[in-house]
Amino acid sequence: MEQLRFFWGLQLSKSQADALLSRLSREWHVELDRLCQLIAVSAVVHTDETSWSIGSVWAFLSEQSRLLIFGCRKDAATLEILLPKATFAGVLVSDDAAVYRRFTQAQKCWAHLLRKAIKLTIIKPDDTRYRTFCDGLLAVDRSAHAAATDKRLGDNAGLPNWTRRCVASVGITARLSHFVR
Amino acid sequence: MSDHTMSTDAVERDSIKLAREIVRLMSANEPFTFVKVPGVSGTNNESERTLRDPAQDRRTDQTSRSIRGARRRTILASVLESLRTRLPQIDLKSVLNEVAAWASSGLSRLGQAVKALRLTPLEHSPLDQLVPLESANSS
Repeated sequence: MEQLRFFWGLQLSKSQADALLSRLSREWHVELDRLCQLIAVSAVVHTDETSWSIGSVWAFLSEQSRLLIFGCRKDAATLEILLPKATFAGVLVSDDAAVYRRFTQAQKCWAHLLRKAIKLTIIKPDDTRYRTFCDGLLAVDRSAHAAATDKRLGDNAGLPNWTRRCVASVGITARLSHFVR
Repeated sequence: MSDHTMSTDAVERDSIKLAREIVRLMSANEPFTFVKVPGVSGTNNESERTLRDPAQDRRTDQTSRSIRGARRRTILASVLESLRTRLPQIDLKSVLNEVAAWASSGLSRLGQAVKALRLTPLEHSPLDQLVPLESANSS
């Protein structure tokens, strides 16, 4: 209110502003429906959620569309409404929460994995297993970015082979074996 | 217990959990989709950034705590954030100009995008399923 008054000289009471925002949201409800349609046909959708004062707030982002759903439930039903199996054929970029596991084309967030690995090295700086594990993950990350940049993979069939080679080259499997027995 | 005082067992458990997560994701190639598909990012930083302000509002108690408020915020935030990606700059003046253009052309920018993709208008609003008003009326 103070900003409106200061920058634009608008004299609005709180109740007037509240009424105007409610009216605007009624007018724009159809625009939200359109955004839902545009997100559902997007090639790439980034998503994340966090808790809200009621339920969750869930973000769905494509190149030009942004959906922020406040007060929704964090469950598969919500995802099915916004990214229906019958419509959504894109790549979903997300963290590794269980609710996202039904998507066949997915990109899990590297930053989450790296952050967790780095945290282990900070908590236990004297334990070399955590450092070599983290270094291995960072090496995989660097190789993946280099492969993405120079487009060395010609077809989809090449990805599993590249993954195997890359993982083997940095010895991540051996490093993982320290932890997974 | 803070991170720095975690017991060795707890750290070991976290590391095993992380290692299993990585094994599962790598076996599905899920951390590497960005290597193959143009336009895909390897991180989800953009979504996390987008949720930073709402998370801050929740922590500082600047939320309406009502279904009606949540619906209103959903609509206004989504449309304005989407305009931010489509307009060269976003401020009160540019939004008013944009809305005036919608009124004169009879179709919003988002409406034009939907039309260009030949999508048929929805029969039921997703918002009414996601955050139904009935739950507000019954509470």
